[in-house]
Amino acid sequence: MDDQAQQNKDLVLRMIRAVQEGGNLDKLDDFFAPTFVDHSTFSGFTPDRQGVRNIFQHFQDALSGLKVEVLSQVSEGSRVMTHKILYGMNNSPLFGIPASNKMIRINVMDMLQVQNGMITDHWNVVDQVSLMKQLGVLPA
Amino acid sequence: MNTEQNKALARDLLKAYDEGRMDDMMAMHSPNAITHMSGQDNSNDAMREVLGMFQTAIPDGSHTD
Repeated sequence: MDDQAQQNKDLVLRMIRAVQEGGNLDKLDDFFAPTFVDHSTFSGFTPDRQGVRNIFQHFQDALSGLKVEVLSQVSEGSRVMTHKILYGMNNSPLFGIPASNKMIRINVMDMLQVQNGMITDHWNVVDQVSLMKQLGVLPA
Repeated sequence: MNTEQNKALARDLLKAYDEGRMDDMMAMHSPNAITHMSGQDNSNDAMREVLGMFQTAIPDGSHTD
């Protein structure tokens, strides 16, 4: 891995710890470019930087004590791929589904594009079947 | 194998799946491969079964870049 790829990977990890897990949403603009585009927007959220702020706040509200376990990261060129698990106590509605009052684990693989030290694009795949089973929407 | 060779292997694997060549696809896996599929056994046999199910349900399905 070259130096740039390593720096991009470090940037993404710092963002996860400070903003996604830590909930310091005032730091979000330090990581996400003003022109940021989300290519995997959740329903009801806008595909821009404000949308990221809103979805991160939603996870903070819905999953108390939110933690992000990073299982692996791969960085090449300007892209960083992360396999991670978000988990927390679901004691507030999540995506409009009533609180399960259970510990919820959300399995995520995402890819971020980094340009000039800022995140410009995002794609992800979320294990929604497992999530819906945990929330009681699908049979376990 | 280097990174580009690994990428080529992954592309070959997807192509084999798209073309319904399950034996070729499985031959690209180590016999000891562990498949981390949600709610499934992690063996090669389980993966073949699940992917076979997808092929039956969506016979003309294919991967795109």
